[in-house]
Amino acid sequence: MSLPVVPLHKDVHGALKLNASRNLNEFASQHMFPVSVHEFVRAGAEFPVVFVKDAASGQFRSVALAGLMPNENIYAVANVLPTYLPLAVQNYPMVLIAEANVENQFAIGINTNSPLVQTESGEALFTETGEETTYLQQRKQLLIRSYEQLQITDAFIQLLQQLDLLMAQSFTVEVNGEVANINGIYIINEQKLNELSVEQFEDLRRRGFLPSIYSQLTSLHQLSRLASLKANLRQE
Amino acid sequence: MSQPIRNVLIVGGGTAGWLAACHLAKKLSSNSAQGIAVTLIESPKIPTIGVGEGTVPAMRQSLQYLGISETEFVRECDVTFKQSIKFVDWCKPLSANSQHSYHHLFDYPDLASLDITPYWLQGLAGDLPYADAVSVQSRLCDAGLGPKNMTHAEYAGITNYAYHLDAAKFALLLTRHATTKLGVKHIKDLVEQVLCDQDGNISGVVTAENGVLTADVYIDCTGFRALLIGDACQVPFISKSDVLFADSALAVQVPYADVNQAIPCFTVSTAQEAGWIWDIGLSTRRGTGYVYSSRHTSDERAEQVLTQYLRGTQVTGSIEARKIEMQIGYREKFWHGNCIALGLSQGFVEPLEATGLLVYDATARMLAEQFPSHTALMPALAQRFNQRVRLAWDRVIDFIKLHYFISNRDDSQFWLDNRDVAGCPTSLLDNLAVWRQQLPSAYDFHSKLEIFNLENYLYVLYGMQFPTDLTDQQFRFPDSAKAKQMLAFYQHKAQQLQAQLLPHRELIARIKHYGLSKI
Repeated sequence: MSLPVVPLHKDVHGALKLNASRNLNEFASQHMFPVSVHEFVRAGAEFPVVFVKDAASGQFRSVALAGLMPNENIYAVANVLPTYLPLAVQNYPMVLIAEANVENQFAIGINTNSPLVQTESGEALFTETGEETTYLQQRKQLLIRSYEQLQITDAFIQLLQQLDLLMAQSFTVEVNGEVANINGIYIINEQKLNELSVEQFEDLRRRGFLPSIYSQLTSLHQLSRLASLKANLRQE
Repeated sequence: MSQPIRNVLIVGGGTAGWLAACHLAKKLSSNSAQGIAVTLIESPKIPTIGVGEGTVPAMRQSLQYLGISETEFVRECDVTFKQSIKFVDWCKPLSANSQHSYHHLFDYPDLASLDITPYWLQGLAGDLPYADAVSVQSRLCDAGLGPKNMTHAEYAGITNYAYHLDAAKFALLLTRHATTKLGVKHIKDLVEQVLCDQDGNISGVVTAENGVLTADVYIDCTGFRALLIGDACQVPFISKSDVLFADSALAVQVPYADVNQAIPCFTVSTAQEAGWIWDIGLSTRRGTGYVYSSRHTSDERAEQVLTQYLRGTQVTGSIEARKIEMQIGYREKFWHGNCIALGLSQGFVEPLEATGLLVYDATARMLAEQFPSHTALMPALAQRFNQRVRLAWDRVIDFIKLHYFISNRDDSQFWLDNRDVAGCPTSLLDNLAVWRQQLPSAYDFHSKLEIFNLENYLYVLYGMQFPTDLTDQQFRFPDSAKAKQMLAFYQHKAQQLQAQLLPHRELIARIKHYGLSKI
């Protein structure tokens, strides 16, 4: 998400009002959005949900795709309202900022350049006496929940790797006769999933990961929906 | 009567012993009840040489094949990546203030598309060094970049690479892998005597604490001591010190000047008056040493030369080098009866092209692949093994000699002697006679198992400005347009990659922190 993010402070931001994200229009050049394992079912009903490697660390992340190539956000360009907004987008323009050198200590940050940040319309963040409003408290809780979910997601991805359940998959998508290859995507290996021992499979079930796993697999069909959205865009 | 072979005893640890143990145990299913039992005995009292720190890309394949995690390997053995050997001063300086240097890269030239060599020889690329003309890798090396980025899986990369490693730590990693994953049995004990039967086969080894150990096959990994193949089996050693003069080394580990100092992604080999100095950057320290000919210099002078080199590379403080004496050459046979030599007991030449670990790894793989199922097969397999390994060593010796023989240095007796035809193997002389007027060809390297091939020769020959004269043969090379395209492509591609790749030290730090994924 675009910077600059500054720590939220009542003295500086006392008069600000916040509006809720409703679409992806603010992220016109962002083609993927992080999603937690808890979001796979709902996000997968709208977007292809896949795994990619973080460029800096090589670590796997789960993301929802809103475009078929880097810097392309078909939803933003087509002004399409998705049926589900990833939590990271719902949180926007607020984010958690990790405190340097202290584990699990965070400050609340805000991107005041976002059009969602206003002074006239929207929900106030602080009362006139400088207290946090109920609205801000709700937003903070959402941030914390989102952070916790991402922690669980990391553990989920670790488990998938331990079980050798991830595999690289390239996709070929055709848009108006133009063929594009999508690389760098990893998905759950359905064959390996079926070959798990009874105990391993039971463990996944007990931890509640099965719906997410199958949602990831079925969400791949959203690729062709994304391609047809893009095709319609071209024809208009 | 022919018996099925059920067990192997490896005598001696060290890198070679544990590599052999891993290869044999992996191929012979030693971790299953039906598999062949592999036991390694080593004495905690006998130190290993532990200097071999350079590898070639075949090691990467071996580690992957053996099922070792590249992340663990990098974390535990102070590993850095190696994309090349940079040879400095192996020819006279180009001008008063410009040293001669060239890269022997691990990325092979794309000869299948077009061999650019003749066009380069005709001056199509101007002053561009040969390695820059045929690959992107030399530019990436000089820019201090690693061969892969964090999104690459273990053992995958943009360019071809090998490793620099801490030999002692590597032996420990191999020990753990062999004993916990591959089913190798580890005995820590001293071998006091080797017993032979009347046919010259080994019938057992007498240990200090475990009595007499017996096996169907014995592997000699006892280093230069050659307890089994030499002392017990009496297989003579064939010296090659009349071809390769370097027989001594002073090795020293030195710290980095500061913790953020860039780590070269290649070995530096700098020629000296009576040998050459290796300089290998590990993640935690440098490993360096002077390899020299004791016939051409004294130990005292060698120490001066090494000290002077280190002072020139920001090393302060005292320098306490360890002296290593090397036997240059190989055994007349590597497999005798039921005894097979791997490692220093098999043969050794100066480590100019990281040939130590390379040959031991290659022969261990060869042995594992062709391991006899029954005793009756052993004579035939031994004969083949001996032929092939002998050929491998002879070809290695040719290639090492090449680095000296085609030099134009004349500043010491060492170099003059090295350039003397008398010390050059006929096979190399024959090749060079052809290559003076004709391009080297894949047909000059007809054995599929050669360790150094056409591409390796190209880098060294033309890195050292070997004068292949094609002036009256230009009609054979009509593809200058395509050659120009390829030259431009490498230049462009190198620029692209420079923007994507991480500095070598940063790459190692991130791998240590995050790890690489298996896919």
